[in-house]
Amino acid sequence: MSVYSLAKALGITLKHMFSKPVTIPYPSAPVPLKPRFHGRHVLTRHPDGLEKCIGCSLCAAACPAYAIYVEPAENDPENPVSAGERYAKVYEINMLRCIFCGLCEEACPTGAIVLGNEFELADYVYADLVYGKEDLLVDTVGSKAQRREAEQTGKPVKLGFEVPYVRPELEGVKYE
Amino acid sequence: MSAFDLLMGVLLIASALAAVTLKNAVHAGLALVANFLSLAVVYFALEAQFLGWIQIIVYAGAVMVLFLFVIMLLFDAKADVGLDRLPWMRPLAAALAAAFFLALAYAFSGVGPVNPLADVKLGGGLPKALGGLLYGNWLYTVLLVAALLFAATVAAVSLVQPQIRKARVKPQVLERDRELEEVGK
Amino acid sequence: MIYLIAALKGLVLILLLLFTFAYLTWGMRRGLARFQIRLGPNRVGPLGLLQPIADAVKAIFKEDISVANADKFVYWLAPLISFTFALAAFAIIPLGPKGSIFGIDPWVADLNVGILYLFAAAELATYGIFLSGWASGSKYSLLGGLRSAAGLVGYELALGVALLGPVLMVGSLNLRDIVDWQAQHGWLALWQLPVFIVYFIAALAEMGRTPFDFVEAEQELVGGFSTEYNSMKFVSFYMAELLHWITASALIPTLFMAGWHAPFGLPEIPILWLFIKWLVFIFIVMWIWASWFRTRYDVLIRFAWGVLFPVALAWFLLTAYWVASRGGAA
Repeated sequence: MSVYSLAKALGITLKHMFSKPVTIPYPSAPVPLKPRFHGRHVLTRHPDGLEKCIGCSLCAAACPAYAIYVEPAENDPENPVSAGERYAKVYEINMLRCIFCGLCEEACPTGAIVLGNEFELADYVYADLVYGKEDLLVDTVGSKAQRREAEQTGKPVKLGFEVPYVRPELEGVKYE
Repeated sequence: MSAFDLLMGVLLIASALAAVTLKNAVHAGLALVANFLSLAVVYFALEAQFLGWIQIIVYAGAVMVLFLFVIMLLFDAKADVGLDRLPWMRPLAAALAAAFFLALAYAFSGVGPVNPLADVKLGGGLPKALGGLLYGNWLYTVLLVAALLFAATVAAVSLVQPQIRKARVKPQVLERDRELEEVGK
Repeated sequence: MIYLIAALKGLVLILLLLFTFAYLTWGMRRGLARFQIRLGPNRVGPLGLLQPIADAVKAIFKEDISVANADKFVYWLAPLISFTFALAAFAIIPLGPKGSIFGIDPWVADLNVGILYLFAAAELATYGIFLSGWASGSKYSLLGGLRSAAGLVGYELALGVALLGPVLMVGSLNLRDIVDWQAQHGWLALWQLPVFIVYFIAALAEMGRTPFDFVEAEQELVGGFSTEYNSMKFVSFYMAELLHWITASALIPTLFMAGWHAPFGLPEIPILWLFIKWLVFIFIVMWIWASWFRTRYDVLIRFAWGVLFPVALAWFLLTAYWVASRGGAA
């Protein structure tokens, strides 16, 4: 424990004093996330507007936490919802059971269910955290809690993060 | 006999009584600390400032701290001490204490009250004045007391030295070593 | 009348010390954060300045739990002792020359035996520590309290012997005399450099700050003597610890760096220069706290008794010889 090493230790902390802190002042500043961050799921669509999800339930089978519930239905030939023979009539993910592992994304044959980057999902009531299809489709921005707050205050949903680029699997997702 | 004298007298006697009668050893120790602090106050009132501070620093601050350490570490301070082996001691002690008190009262009956503000020769008991006396006239007494304290310290430290006992060796090992020695010869 | 003024000054000083304690927690959290490349509390009020108030409100409203095994009287008394004697030591520090604050002397008491008062306050403060350890009714609190108090006693010895040299050179135990002597003859930190270092190290130990925070080695002892305390009683211990830091940071400049005098002929403003020196020492202690780690307990004790105490004693003998050879105090 020489005096020299003690002095060096003091020098290091003094240098720290004059460097910029690494703390990100969320929520005043957006959190920089990586593009493949496991956030809230997104049900994507084909470019022509048809949903990619065909209601096959492979994601529900793959989910290790049994968080996904799928009820398929036959596609009406005149007004097809999805691009195959079936579509998911009821598609629910229990966000409190979900462990955000991404196995559903790996299991999906059409690339319908993809893990997006939103993480601000906190809410108050258990029932509100079982997200239905309308909460997961690619058209909705923000979690249920954020959209509820946006309705009440009148301000648009503000996402608290930024990604350098949106990965190509997340078709149609735009974070301004 | 001013109100201050009365108050200090009551405090001193009460804390001393508490120190000898309280069942819990730590409480008794704290009562003794209170006694020392009251005594320090009396010293201040008698314009013996240095002695008062030394009373606080040495007695209440060092001696009692170490004493309380020992009590806390060694004794289960909350336990009752158990059977009183000398039941006749208490009334005897009380009688002797009363006799001592009467003797002191008689001895001090001829002494008038001390007027502390008159003739403050020692500058209020300050170190400068005391130092001159201690290391001037009374130097040999101070050296003797220092030697006594040093002897006490050495005795205390030597009492707690761990006894280095020789390691007990098994008799078979001793036997074998003896045989090996004989063969070696 | 004198006593009334002293009592009022004492009251003002206590309020000032408590305010300083609260905002020292703010300064400590933000300062330590900057040493650790992060921001400190900055949510509660601008720059986090209302954080101490929020902490105080939280602490006051916390439920005051008492351990069932605790010794009622001593459990209540120990934080009181800690807190009282931590406040006491600041009384004799002169903040400026006589009559400088609108004709009032800027100190609470001008004791002729000021140094002895400091020793007494430091020693009586250790009572709070081991008494609280014992009163908590838990073996581990007892051990923590006793180990802390044993360490503190050793460092107090070094503290005391280190001050003998300066006292000999100045020829007085009065803090005002020490400060005024330094104004004439130069800083005692230079005249008595070894014991200045010894005093600084021992003061770090008395404060319970790394590298000597055996008093509250969180990773080893949870809270040491204060484990079983919470709410206001715990705040008393915490206050006592920070008050020791505040007082020591004010005492070291007073004893070794000419107190309230301005360095090198700059204009003499009463309280400002001591405040600046105090800030410097607060910063240095915080800097050391952020940079060094805790030494092992037996190394600490051996350091106090085996290094600091002999060095201070040897230096005292040297100083005594020097002073005597010049025929009395300079």
